[in-house]
Amino acid sequence: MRRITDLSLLSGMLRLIVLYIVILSLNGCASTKSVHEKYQPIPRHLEEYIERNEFSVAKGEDVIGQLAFIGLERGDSLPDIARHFSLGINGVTAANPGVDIWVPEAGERIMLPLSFILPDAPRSGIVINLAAMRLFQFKGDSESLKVLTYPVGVGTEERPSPTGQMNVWRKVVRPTWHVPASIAEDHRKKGDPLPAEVLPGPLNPLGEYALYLSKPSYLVHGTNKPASIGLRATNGCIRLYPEDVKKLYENTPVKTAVNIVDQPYLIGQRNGLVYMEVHASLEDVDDDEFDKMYRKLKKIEKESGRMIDWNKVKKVLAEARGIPVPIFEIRQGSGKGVAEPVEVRHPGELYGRPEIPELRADAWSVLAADVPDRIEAVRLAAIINHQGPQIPARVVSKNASYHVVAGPFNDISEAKDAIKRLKIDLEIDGILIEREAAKPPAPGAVKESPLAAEIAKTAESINLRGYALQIGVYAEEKNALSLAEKLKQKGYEASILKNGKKPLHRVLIGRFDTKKKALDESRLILQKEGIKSIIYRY
Amino acid sequence: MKKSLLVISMMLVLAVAVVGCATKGDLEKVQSQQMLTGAKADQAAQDAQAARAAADEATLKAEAAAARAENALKMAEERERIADEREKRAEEMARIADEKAKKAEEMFQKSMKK
Repeated sequence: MRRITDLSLLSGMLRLIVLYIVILSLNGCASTKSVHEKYQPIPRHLEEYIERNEFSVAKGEDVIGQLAFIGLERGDSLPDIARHFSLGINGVTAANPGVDIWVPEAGERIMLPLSFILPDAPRSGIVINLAAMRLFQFKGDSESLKVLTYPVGVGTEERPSPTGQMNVWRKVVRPTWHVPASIAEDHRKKGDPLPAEVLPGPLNPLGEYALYLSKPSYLVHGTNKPASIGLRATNGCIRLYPEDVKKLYENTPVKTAVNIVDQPYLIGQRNGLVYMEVHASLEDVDDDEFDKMYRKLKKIEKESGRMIDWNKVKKVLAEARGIPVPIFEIRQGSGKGVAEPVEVRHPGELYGRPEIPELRADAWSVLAADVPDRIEAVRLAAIINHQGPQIPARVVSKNASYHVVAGPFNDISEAKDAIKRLKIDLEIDGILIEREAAKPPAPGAVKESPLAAEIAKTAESINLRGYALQIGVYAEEKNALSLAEKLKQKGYEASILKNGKKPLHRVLIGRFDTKKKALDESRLILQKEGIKSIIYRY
Repeated sequence: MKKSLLVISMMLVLAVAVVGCATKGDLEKVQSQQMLTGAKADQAAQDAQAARAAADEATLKAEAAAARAENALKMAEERERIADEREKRAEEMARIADEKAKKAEEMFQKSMKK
């Protein structure tokens, strides 16, 4: 009887255990599924091409284009992506909050905001919306309206771009920049005096094409600083990417009407849906424009006889991502559906991305920074690369630090000019890195071995800043080479530094950030090899 | 008769007296009992001593354990403090990195002016 009771108890417990295991395994399944859902790449079709400049405008509709996504690759920066897809940096950063502009993570998926609400203005000629930093050029009539659109750079808060109706007064290819007195004064204060006029060329900020507006002193022009498109960086003029201004120049006759508006809150319709696009943060509310937007929405609400979801409106206002967001169906079920964003294949080569030539031992270069953090170094190098005109720069890692080296420069004046620009524009104190003197081999000179070449290469990279251990100094290069080779064979990072009025060949070991590290290594070498060394600062 | 009674009485008294006296066996028994009692007392004393020693040892062990526990607690607190410090340092580093990035961006935007 007792046994029977025990068995029934046992079987009950067993059942419980089995049930528990089943529940646990079900939980396991669920969590695995959620992980898979999160990380499994969604099989998707990648578009090879997406339209970025030219769109048809359907009658009665205000929204053009299509949002897209792209996966970033190593070395991409948002300004390069923006330029390739004819977007301003403002658009890309607003659509992708939290993404590092200069050093985004490889594999990160970002939005390309290639959909726009047309400004609330007559659809003819050129309309520029300063808030969206975008130019719209209308072609055709209301039956078959086409719009060409380009991102622009606009005036600063201190020197804003004008608003109002004007027209293209004249057009010039390769314009000369007649420096306005106010800008000349600014540059003089910065210690960078400008000539009265800047002739066409890489230093001319107007670029290759200019459309002079009927409002005196204001132009729509190209730029020698493409990374400034999508920034408030001009003195009131409107800047375009060089490739965009060329198209605009070719498509725009003199006397074309130009309407400059400043509309941060845009409301538009497409496929039975009302969209809203916001370009201003809540801290920067334009009262008049805000009222206008509110009245427009109230009117839509009244006409439709249905309530707008004002919480949705608040959300769009708070996020201010600069993309059209559907907020309302004009009639119940009237929305034919929101256009799904497309996935675009990474083009590999990004149009307009600054090229970075290899450093050369026979060229001059400039040490722009020496930082312990790689990301900081990469960011700085990218910023220097995106100057206008470009200053090529890259990161050279050495021991535990990262050098940002600008160059190569063909002569010392180019290098000094870069140092000046780094100082004036970016407040960076660059250090000149001398080039290796090229001289013909002396008769009977020792043929340079591959090892010697390597040592010379090390010497080039060492020619920056820091401490080394000087093992010997020779007037004769071959003696220095012989010692350096011996040290190299023992596993030391040996190099030869040639300097002084009467050139001396210093045989150095290592490169140390601090004197203490150099001293420690010096003691170690003395103990191990019995070689005395002195600290050399270069 | 009287004599006989006296003898009998004496015999009885003697017998009674003899009965009151211990035999050798009794004595041995008593002795062995005494020895046993002594041994037991010794054992009890030894046991008590051992118990005291054990109690002392247990006290020492308890004290050592308490000290170890205290030490472990201190170490845990130290580890927590170090972890907190590391976290604070990481936060500080992140803040500095953000500030540097912001400063770099401001610098860049300034450099984009004409």
